[in-house]
Amino acid sequence: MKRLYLVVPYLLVELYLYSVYTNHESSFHWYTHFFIGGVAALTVMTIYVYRTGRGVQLPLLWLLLAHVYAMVPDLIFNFEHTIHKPWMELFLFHISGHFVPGRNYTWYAIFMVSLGLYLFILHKKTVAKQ
Amino acid sequence: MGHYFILIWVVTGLILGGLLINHESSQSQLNDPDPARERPGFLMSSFQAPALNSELPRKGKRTLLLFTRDIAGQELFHDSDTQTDISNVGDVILIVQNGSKPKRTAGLTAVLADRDGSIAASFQIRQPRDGGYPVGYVVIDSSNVVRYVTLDPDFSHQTTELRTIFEGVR
Repeated sequence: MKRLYLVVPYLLVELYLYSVYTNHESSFHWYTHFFIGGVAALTVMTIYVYRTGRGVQLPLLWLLLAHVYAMVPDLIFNFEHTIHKPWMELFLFHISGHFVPGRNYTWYAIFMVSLGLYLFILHKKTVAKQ
Repeated sequence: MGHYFILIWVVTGLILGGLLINHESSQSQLNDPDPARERPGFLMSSFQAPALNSELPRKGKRTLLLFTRDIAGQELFHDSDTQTDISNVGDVILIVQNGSKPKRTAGLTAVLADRDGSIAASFQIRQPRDGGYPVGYVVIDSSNVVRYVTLDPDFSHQTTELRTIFEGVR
């Protein structure tokens, strides 16, 4: 609540990333890596909150960093002109993540479940015990 | 406070869900019905390239096949230098459904007609959303193995990506 103002720069950065992907006619990929990065970050944050009983500092930064991490092979493609290789799966299943049944709709659902779980645990472990 | 978190979850879901639905529904009719299969960025194919004629594709050279429906009097690429640059990477063959020719053919190894779509079908290029002739490209390596097949309605502008894929095969 105290850091609500941080939502604005976060949204601006994500908007910028979205515009870059859109300029390359690749906005489908922005969604995929956003959702997968988000799921990864939310999973880690949920575990952290559950284990420590404390909220995560700068959760939006975690989301952003996870998204950018998932995007790294696209940065390599764009700046190094190197095609995707199998080892790039290290970046949160950068290649195979695109091919799950249901595509981005499936990742959207998983993201929403992850977000719901994180908020629930956050509420239970931090706010509710006050 | 619990209601605040529920509100965050609902608002986030509505915004992201709305954006996703809007994005999916605004795809061009020339795009792949499965966006995951369009321009995946990795070499996903591996089959022997069918012959286009008695000479093409040439073994020992990388080959780029560009597919389009109509190019009559148009430039193939938005950047006039691209046609020359890409032809330095390997053979570039333009396959046009209606048999028309581009404004400039310099740098192109051949311009072929594909009125019945048999060439596109032989290279296993996917059908776009409108079920019509594919607009995209195929990359063949120097051993005559097809390594990359994709729809790309905007290949005339996405030339950096095209070149990266073309140079990415041996």
